[in-house]
Amino acid sequence: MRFTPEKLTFTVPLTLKAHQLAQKFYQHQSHQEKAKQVYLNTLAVYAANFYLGCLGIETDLKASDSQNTLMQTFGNIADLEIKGKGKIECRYVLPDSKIVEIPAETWSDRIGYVAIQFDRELTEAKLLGFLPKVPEEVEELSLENFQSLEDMLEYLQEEKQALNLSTWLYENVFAPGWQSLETLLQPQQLDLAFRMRTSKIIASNTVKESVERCKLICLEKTGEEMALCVAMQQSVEGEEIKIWVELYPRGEKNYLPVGIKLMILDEEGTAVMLAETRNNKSIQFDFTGEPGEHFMVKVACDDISITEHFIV
Amino acid sequence: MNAKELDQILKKLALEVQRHPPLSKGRKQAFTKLWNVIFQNSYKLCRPYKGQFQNSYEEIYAQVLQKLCLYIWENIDKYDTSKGEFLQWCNNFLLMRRFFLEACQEIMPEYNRGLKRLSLDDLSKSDTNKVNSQLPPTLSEQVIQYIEEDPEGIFRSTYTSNNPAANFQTIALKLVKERCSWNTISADLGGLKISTLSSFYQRTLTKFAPKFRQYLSE
Repeated sequence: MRFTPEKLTFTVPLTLKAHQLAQKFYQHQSHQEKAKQVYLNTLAVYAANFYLGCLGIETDLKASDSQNTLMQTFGNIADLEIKGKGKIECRYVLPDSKIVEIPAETWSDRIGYVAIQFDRELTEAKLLGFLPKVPEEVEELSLENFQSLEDMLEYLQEEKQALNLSTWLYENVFAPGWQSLETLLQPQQLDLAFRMRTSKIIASNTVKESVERCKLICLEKTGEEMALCVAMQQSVEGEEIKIWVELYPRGEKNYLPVGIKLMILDEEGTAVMLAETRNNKSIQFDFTGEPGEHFMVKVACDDISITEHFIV
Repeated sequence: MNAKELDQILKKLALEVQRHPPLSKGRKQAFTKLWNVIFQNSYKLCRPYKGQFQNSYEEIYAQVLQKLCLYIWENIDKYDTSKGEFLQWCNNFLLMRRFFLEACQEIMPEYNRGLKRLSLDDLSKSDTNKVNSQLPPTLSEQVIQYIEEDPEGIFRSTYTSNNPAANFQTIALKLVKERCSWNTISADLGGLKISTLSSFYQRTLTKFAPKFRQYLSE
């Protein structure tokens, strides 16, 4: 037997419990082919759900159409709702087959497709690969088109948890990677940052709490490192928090690379502030936020981007 | 691969899992690899009560393997390379026996009720096409009947692309009752794009779902 599988796969033992569920749904169908389809779809969703559940990726089986006898009747579906992300479609592949069926019913409202192969006895299900998007008007795909499961983990991991700024401000506890400004910025940049901020404050003695942190970021394309800074101040009166988001070049560089976009997005992901670098030593946004408010900071260059999600 | 090579591979993968912080992508990827190797070599895992339970043994053992998989994911940080090989750690007899006894309790009541894992051949053989008219109609039969009757006339009057022929009733019956492919449906409706038809179908289905539920509950 050879070790070194070329692609990352994961095999789930299909237990009697899995078959029990499949048989429950199966009974509601009169047509043999349809009943078989429902049976296999149920096992495929079960396998994906076991894998994701095992890795602590939260799913919502009950909210998935594939678990609903009515929706099973109306379409060839095997969706699995992933909490806070959307539905993945769990497409079964017959033993020895290289073809994955992508029924038109599953073309919309999916964040990706997982190919899952059974053995003849239906005692195990092997998760073979993942595809975030299928080509238009195509109901069948070769397995070769699928990417590794690694990509699925990457894809599901992408959206990181929101960083809670109040723990920064009141408890001085920071998320990994967020360091003090001195570690990343040059003295003249620190000076610049300080001057830009103080000019906006009415009087420094009204500041109750303040904190500033920065993170090293690097967009693959340009390869240049930049420092993303977030600073906050709460004044003595009121709950409102003043927030600064700044971008600086790193190291000996005086200027940011050209064509870098810095954006502030609201909860829905709509850009509410946007700036693009031409000949800039820094970019700075300032705004106010109320406790509980969400916002995102996106740094982008063409189609490559880094997004950080915050809660005030 | 001999036992020594397997031990080395497993140790290396286990350390790789431990190296990544909990719930990180790296840990999930490394664990996926680790489990794959264990599963491929599952014949090396101990099998408590072997020779007993006859036919139900494999049913129970599938559940044991699931338990082992979850156990490894949750406890892998407790594995200490200096205290032995990885398989000795996760495949110790007491642990596997505990999993087996738990699995027994979970599986046997269902098994004794006659539940079995069906194979692909079973699914192709078993003729579920209903011949016995004394059985109550299945859910799918009731749904088809409701669409055909269309008591409010809404299924046939809801259509897409300004084409009354491309109505919900026609599409649903072709798909659910006649089991036509989308290609056939598209061709029958003058070559309307499949994506247009299927997204119309999904949208309308969501809209009508409460009606179907109400009908089925009556």
